[in-house]
Amino acid sequence: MNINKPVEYDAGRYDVVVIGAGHAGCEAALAAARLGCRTALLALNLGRVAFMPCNPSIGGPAKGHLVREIDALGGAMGQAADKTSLQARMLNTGKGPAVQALRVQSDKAAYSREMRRLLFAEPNLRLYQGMAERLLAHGGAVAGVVTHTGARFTAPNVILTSGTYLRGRVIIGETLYAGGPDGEQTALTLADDLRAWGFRLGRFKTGTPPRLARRSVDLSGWIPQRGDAARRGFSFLPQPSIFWGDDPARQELCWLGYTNERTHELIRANLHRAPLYTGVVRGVGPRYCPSIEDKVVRFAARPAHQVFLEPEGLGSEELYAAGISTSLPEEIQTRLVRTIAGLEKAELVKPGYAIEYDYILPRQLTPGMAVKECAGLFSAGQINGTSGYEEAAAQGLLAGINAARRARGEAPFIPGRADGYIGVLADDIVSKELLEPYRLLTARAEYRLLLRQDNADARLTPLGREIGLVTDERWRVFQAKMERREAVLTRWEGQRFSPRDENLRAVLTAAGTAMPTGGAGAAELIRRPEITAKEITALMPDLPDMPADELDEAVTLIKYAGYIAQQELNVAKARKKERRLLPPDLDYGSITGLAHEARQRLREVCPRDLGQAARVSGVTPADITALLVHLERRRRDGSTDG
Amino acid sequence: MALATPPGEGAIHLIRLNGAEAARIVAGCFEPFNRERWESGGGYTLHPGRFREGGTELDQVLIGRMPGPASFTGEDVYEINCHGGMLAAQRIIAACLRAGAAVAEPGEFTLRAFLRGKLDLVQAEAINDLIRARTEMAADLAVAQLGGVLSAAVLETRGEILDMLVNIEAGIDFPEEETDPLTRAELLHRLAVTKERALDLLAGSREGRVIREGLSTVIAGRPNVGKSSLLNALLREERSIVTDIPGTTRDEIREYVTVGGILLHLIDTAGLRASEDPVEKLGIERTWKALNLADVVILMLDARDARRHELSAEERMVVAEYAGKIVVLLNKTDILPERGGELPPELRAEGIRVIPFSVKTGLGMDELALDLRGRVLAGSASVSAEPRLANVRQINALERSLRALEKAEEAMQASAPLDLISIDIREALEEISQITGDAAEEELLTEIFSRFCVGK
Repeated sequence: MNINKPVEYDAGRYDVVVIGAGHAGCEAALAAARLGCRTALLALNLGRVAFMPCNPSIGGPAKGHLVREIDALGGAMGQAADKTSLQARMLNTGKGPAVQALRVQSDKAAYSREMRRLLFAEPNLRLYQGMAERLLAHGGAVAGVVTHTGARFTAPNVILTSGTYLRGRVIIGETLYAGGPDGEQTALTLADDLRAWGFRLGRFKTGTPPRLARRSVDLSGWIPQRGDAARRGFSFLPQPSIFWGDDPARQELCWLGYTNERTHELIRANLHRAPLYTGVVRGVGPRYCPSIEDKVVRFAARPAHQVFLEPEGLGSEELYAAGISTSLPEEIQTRLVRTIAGLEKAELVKPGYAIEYDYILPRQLTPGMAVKECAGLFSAGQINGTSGYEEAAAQGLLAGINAARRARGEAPFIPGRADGYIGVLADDIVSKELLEPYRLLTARAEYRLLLRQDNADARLTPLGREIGLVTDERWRVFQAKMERREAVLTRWEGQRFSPRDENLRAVLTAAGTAMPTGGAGAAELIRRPEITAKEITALMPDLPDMPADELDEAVTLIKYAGYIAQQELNVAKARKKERRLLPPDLDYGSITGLAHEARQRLREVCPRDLGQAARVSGVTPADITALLVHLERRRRDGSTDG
Repeated sequence: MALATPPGEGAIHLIRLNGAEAARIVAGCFEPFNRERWESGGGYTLHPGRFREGGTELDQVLIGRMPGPASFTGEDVYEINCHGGMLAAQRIIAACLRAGAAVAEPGEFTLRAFLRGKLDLVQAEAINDLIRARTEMAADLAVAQLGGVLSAAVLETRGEILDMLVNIEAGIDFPEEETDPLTRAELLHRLAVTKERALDLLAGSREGRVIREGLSTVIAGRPNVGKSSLLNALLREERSIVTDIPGTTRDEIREYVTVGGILLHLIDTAGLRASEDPVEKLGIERTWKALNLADVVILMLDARDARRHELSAEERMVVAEYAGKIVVLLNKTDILPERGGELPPELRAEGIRVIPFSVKTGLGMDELALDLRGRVLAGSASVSAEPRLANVRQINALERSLRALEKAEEAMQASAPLDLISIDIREALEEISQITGDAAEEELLTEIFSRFCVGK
């Protein structure tokens, strides 16, 4: 890219350098700096840090859980989303406490500004706009980064969070150009540099829908989508929205409408110009995020598809058209949008596009996001083959924590699958084969009932405190909450109701459930499906004062006690396997009884423990037995073969 | 847990339970005659008593207790001596499984003993072979069950369970997408239907001969040589269609019979010959498959053809391929004029047992019984008999799946939310998947994405 090679100069020595200032990079840089490391953050464009090139929303099932976990550990995403919230909704409220999840529509520009403010507020953090061109190495370990203008950042820890920018290629119909998401430039040379370093890279694809000018659409026939009537936020330290404060009635609206047969006909008539079907797109796209052309082909019987119009921001005047992601030619996109009722005169502000990019096969990483073959190098976010702001932020937080821990000479922090979705995510991507960009789903969590969004703090804040990211304020709030919970649970355990209790009779009758013949304990009553927090408050008006969600959580713990105990038992069983650590120098090639495929996969993944080994794609129970036998033999030999 | 004695009818059977849960499982089923002595908890003691499940007495047994770490595996070991006859043993095994025991894989006790430091390295060398053998056996087993009527029904039931789960999970992970979730009433109805189906399956698998067990024995030979007549003679009932038209048994016919104290799982096959009839060809293909999987092959020849050295290409192939497990019956020896002539060289080879036989007169029947018994006692046939226990295991997996479905139904009726119900349905899916050996998780996600239009 440079015609002349720039003269390198010393841009300083750091403990940690982060390349990329997206959602992963921001969390990584903040975590490292807050843990006391001298940190530098390199961004292609400092005006667009933590930018959201896709949906203007954060959260949803599994993703919302993840944001709560990031917050519980002391990360930034939850608070930034709450502060810039335009609308917040709890999804899945009728489906049980384990799968309830918050989704927040955020103002993109405000979110970026808020994150930028947090970055600049960190005294240990230096921000720098520039393109990382190559990594420096010294004796098998990373030693720093050089930018395209010759700035040399020297550091023993480098975190790669360059997202979809690696050899990015944007596709809109017949138009193809090298570029990053949403009009950004692409990082061209870094991919070549990584390849030269021996990284195995894959190629994925993703896409976005067009953006429309708000002034050009008529939403009178559309169904308004409102935020919840109750105040909702991700953070365990509540942050008022800069847009609606503490008054949910002032939340922004989203809008629901539908495509129709005319839309579908137009798409079918132009499939020969759809890059997805002409073979132009080679990267593998996610199944969970099909383009509208894909939906029309695969679900031909459906007469209409949903379109959600979501505000990109309060001042932006742009609407994000969720549901019609497309890479059809611009001209067709305009006509397509205008077949939809209310959008007949819609102005396309930005066309939808597909983007292909390189990613690092994440089997090359440890579950702590460290690159196995290169000490001090970490990678996090979409560059690891995942999709989603939340997945990126979680990995960034993990990488930032572990880079800092390495700088301080501490052992890495590896969250388990029973600790949180963050553990599920990390373990999945380093153990399993990715067939498409990885998206977290609640269905991927085997202990879903334990990983609720209401207890993310109980699961992770003590760990965050140990790590050093949980501030005194957060710790105090957390402890007070735990004390309230404990007090209520103890109270319920001891309380009994007499069969002659008239208040009890009144409450139970109103709830439509029978009076217990011989009296009943509080817990016993709470387990009845008809009894909710409302009845409980009526039965025990003198309960200590606590927020509604805390009371709900305590009720969940009682109602679900049996299932929760069962899952905890399963966790204990799995932990046994996790305690059997696998030596990192294990030569899988020499273990007799291992199938060929297992040998290859295990060598690649290098699992940390027996539990992870069993989850590696292609490893059978017989292979695990062979591994056990080998370990025992090795132990008896006194590790002479190691 | 495993049956430690060879399968078949004997004076007693020994069932071995090993591991941390063994004590709990035995305590739940065993009613000692001398409770005081049993509860004093001494090691290396024998206790007579009744083995019960629920209110039913299964057998009178003698239980030996060997607590770890001094036992040979290093873990708690209980040995249940029950009466001979596979039925008693199978019922006890099934009861233990229901109480939470798992069927030991081949070589598992040896493996555990090694891992506990109870075996030396030389013995451990053998373990790798066991691991390999296990994989191969699992593969054989899978082949054996493919194409079976039972497994088709299991697959169908599994499909229904998967479908329910896919529907719930798609709705949960994509709450605002076009997933058209089932209503609670629909889900409850489908749970009831699937539960019924699982119940039927279970009833079918126990029906008649209870647990399908036995030395798998294939009767092979050219058409009309008398295979079905042999089967009928053994069963003393007319099950196969026996006519004088060659090629009548186009499908295999399976039956269970005790010969000389050994339970046989008899498989009568389509006659082996070159054929152009597509239906018959299919039957013949199955015959070869059955031969590959059999523990014992009974090759039936017409004595007159054999003496005249007129073996067909197929007959010669069976002799050559299955020499180690073959018994040759020279049928119709009773109508053979005098001595006939010398046997062809193939049949005079080392290790091939030839028995002059007549289905009509019963000639050679005792000798056949002795031979089969000899094979079981010598152990040559009992190694590959091991996977049969998987039948018990499969039934048990099906039972656990059914129980999970019942739990889901109860939870639905108690208005429990979907995230709880999904736990039970997922358990039902995982249990039934153990029968077919399919991975549940990846398939779940694949189904969600292929069946529903989800995503922005």
